[in-house]
Amino acid sequence: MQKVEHGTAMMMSLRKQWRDIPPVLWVLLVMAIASYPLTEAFGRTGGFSLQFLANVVERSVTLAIVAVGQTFVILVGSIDLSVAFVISLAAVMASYFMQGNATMILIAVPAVLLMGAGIGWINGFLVTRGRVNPLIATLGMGLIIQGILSTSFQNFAGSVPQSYQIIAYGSLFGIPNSFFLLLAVAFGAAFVLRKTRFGAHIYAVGGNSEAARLSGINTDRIMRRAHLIAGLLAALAGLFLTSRLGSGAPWVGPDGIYDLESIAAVVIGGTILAGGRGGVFGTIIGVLIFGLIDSLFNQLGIDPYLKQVLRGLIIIFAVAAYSMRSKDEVA
Amino acid sequence: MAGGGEAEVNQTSGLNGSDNPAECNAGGTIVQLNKISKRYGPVMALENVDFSCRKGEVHALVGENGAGKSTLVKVLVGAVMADAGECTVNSRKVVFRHPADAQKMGIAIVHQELNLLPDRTVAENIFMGRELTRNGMLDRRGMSNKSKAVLERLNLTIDPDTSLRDLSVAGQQMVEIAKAIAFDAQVLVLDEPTATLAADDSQTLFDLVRTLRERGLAIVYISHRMSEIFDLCDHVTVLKDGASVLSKATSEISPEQLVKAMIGRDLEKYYPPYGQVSDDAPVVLRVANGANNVLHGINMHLRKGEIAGVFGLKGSGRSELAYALWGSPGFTSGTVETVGKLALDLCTPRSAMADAVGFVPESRKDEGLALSLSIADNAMLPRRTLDGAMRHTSDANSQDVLSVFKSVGLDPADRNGEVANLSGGNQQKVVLSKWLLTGAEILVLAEPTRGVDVSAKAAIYTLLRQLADKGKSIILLSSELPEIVGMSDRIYVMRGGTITKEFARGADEAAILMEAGGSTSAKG
Amino acid sequence: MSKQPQTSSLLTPVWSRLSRMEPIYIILAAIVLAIVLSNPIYADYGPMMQLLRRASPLIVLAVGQLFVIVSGGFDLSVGSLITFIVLLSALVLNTHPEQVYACIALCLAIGIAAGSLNGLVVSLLKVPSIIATLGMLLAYRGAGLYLSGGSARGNLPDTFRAFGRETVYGFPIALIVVIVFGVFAAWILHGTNYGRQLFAVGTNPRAARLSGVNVTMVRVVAFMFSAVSAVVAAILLGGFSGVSTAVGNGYELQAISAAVLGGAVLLGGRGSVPAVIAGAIALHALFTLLNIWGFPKPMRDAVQGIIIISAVAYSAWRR
Repeated sequence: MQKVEHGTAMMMSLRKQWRDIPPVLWVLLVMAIASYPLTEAFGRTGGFSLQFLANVVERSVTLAIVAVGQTFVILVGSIDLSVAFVISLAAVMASYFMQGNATMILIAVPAVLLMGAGIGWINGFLVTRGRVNPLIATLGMGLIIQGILSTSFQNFAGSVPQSYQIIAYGSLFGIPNSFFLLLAVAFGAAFVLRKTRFGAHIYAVGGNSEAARLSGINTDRIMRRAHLIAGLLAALAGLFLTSRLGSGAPWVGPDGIYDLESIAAVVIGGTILAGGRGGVFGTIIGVLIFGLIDSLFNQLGIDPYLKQVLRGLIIIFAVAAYSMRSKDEVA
Repeated sequence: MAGGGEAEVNQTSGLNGSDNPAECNAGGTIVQLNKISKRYGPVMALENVDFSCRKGEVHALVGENGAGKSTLVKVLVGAVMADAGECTVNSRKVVFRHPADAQKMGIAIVHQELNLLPDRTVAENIFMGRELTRNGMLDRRGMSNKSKAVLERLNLTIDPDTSLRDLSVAGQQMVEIAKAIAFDAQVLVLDEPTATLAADDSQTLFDLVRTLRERGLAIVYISHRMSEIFDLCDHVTVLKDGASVLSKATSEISPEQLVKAMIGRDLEKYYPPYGQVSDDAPVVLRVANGANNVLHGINMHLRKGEIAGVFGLKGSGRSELAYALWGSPGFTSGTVETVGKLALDLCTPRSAMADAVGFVPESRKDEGLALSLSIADNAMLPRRTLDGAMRHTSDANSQDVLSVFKSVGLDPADRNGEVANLSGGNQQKVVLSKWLLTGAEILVLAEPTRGVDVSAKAAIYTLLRQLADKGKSIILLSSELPEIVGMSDRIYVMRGGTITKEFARGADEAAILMEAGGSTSAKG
Repeated sequence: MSKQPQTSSLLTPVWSRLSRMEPIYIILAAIVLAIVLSNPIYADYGPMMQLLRRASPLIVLAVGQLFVIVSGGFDLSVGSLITFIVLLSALVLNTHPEQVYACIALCLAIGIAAGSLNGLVVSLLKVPSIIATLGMLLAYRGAGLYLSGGSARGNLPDTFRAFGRETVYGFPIALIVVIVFGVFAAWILHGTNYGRQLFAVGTNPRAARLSGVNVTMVRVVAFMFSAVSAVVAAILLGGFSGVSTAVGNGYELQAISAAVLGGAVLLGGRGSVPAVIAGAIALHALFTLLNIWGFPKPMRDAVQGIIIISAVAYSAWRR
């Protein structure tokens, strides 16, 4: 038996995370990058450049944060359809609290995060204690948030101070701040999943709930915590989005289709919908692929509405590529 | 009284590989069950059963399906509570309310279906729910090393860092065993561990069981296979009809005596008389060289008015044969003839139906019935499907439908009630009436009396014989030997994915059981 | 009459039947009563017909949705399919105003194709219907806006709008459409072998398959029914709302809420057409009531969210 030289523990776990990414992703990624020269042929500006890729990443940060949260719930065998509405809520609340006042940042940010976590926990509670199917619990929760939010705010509510927009537009050593946020979220999530007991239990509950229960794991609690993280990260995504937009409105979440796109990114990233297998880095790649495809469409000058059609179809077929091998009955 | 509370549990000491060798040879009784009784509704599953197992002993627990083995094991591992009787562990009285209580007292079980995570590593599986941490972080290296130590102590060459998916079924089972005993187990229950293993793999399992015995564990070994019981086990306890009828060292009895103790029941009043099928009755179904990914070389035939039994243990291919005859999934090669004409189209349920075949699947609840729908809607479903979807709903009140309900013993007045409210026996009658309503001439019945109480069983047997006498031809696939012997005009025995032998009616149960059990330990 | 309760459903006393009546009829009666008490004008024939006429697209949609729900799935694409159909009809009829019936036939054909596409994606590609139909929601919305260039263009001729707007002898045509559609749907679901197969597929697809049912076909037809109901709803909505890019927004969830209110069990196996029709009327009436009471329109979403969560939680607890 050949012995693999053990590197540091962190390297091991990183290698493991990368291995979870299905090879098809690398193909897609290479294809997407390679197709940029093609756009030159259409006489569009830009083409493939470092600046361009940086733009792609920057525009993907919001989706990436939500999708990381979605990864947690999907890994544990659940799903969260309320994230888009939580994003709206977080965005509106943040700008409403701040009203352009920089000192309010310190209050608004924790308050909004706490609210997101609370909504996530309620989702988890409905799923575990209420025994409501997660699709329905989170869809219903989303509707309730949307209803209350749209009732209270018809338009952009308040605004954020200049200093707050540094998160989205500032840079450090020439690297945009949003990159750091993205890296922090991704590595933080990878750390939780790979290096903590909680992470191990998430894989156990998603992989085989009954086995996890027999091994003494409190499966309901793990499920609730995963939902809490999804809610928390959706709120964080909302905070970031507000920093980009300068203000929040009730439609910013649903307009970005963050619910569907986050699920699709997770699935494309190799996390299976049934739970128990996958990881955060795959999700990030899935998000980047969406960003690249989006930018590619822009480069090719595809009509924005047609783009939406293609997006819908891409999501369906991306999920289909993984689901069609399943032998279970699906409804 | 609460069992686990006072037990001293040192979670990891078992991993250090420093078991006291003096303990290993002691041979003292670890677990003692006294006068255990358990009743499920009207059924007495266990009655005053005594059972004990000692250090360094492999104790076989045998008995036919329904004899009470699984109930006894559930009591032992804390999955159900006995109605009466007491349990002592190391001479101390305990009450298990939950499997976790039994685990704390060192009683572990490896179920037939594996409770593992295929996408995780071996070490992660072994430590599932009891992960080691260092400075608040998972100590992967530590878990890997300790798993390695456990596996090495069991003489297993499994790398703890491989993904469980990459191991064979046998390897996964070894990991499950390692997981079960990694934390101070004194008693290990193995529930039909060879059912899903190939012969070579079984040998590895036997080696492991012997290693564990040397290390001083008590092993409760459930099996139907004579060869395993006599090669591997030191002691055997036989359950029959919820009572312990024999408990002896394996060296003191012969396989024939053992089988006699297991069976030997007054069959006559339970089963109707055999049919009167002559040897030249027309053949209605013939399978030649049927094969698919599990089955191979299936050759069988069925005569008109006959009940042909197919007996096989779990993993013998019996279930797969039932599905193959129903085209879901069917045979991928070979030929199937029905009523003398080639039935190449016996490849979907729909076409099998059109060939006047009917099918009662093994699991009534998962495969046979839509539980929240009415009796009539369930029973009429195949007939309505044959009638055509866009036709007006086929009438459930017509005389022939009502007479079918009456003939199987269902009250036609109940036909609009939910099938979920029926007893198991009556639910099975609903499944059976599906095919009487389509006018099926050939019935493929897989475990038709599973989970049905004794009186309903007798009613179903009588019904099946009536049907056969009226000219229906029946293939009865079952893992219950008395049922096969009591009902079949001819008996096929399956092992390893094919039919190995054919017996005439009323054949000796012992001979059939020996044939089905095969000689798994012949090698090595 | 002191009969044993088990004897026969035909001999059950009347009071027992009443107690087993679907609660939706009582809810509907209560809401209508509340409306009339809040604003007595609704007790008149005209306003009541107006309310029913406004509810008609939702009724048709909910009945179509019921087929998919009974099969165990969801159809979230109907709302944007409505928008697509309205925008498409407006464009087609703008250039050929005389071809109303040809246009309607075209729309129905599109509905059938859209439904089969949903059904096949779910059955063969095994994409969960909630994701598949959400994806189609995006696609239809994009397609509609692409066709019309992002804004409401074109016009619907009066012959087209008559279905939603006109009355015959004081009776709205829209309600005639609802009645015809409802009776047809009730016959399919409760009166044909297909209906029985659909319930079986929704309750236990594996058992249905082993009983010879063509599960794929049954599912595809259910989705087709739902998509066609969206087309019918689009024709009615185009009639009284005219052309707009937001005409179908939110209808998918309203349809699901209405079906759930009418006692349909999400994830399959239970539901009835008359009760769902009552559910759709009740939901529309509830919105009207909220309106009368001065609640802002977006509160409807929250009400729907509460309805679906509590309905599912309720049925989970009852089991």
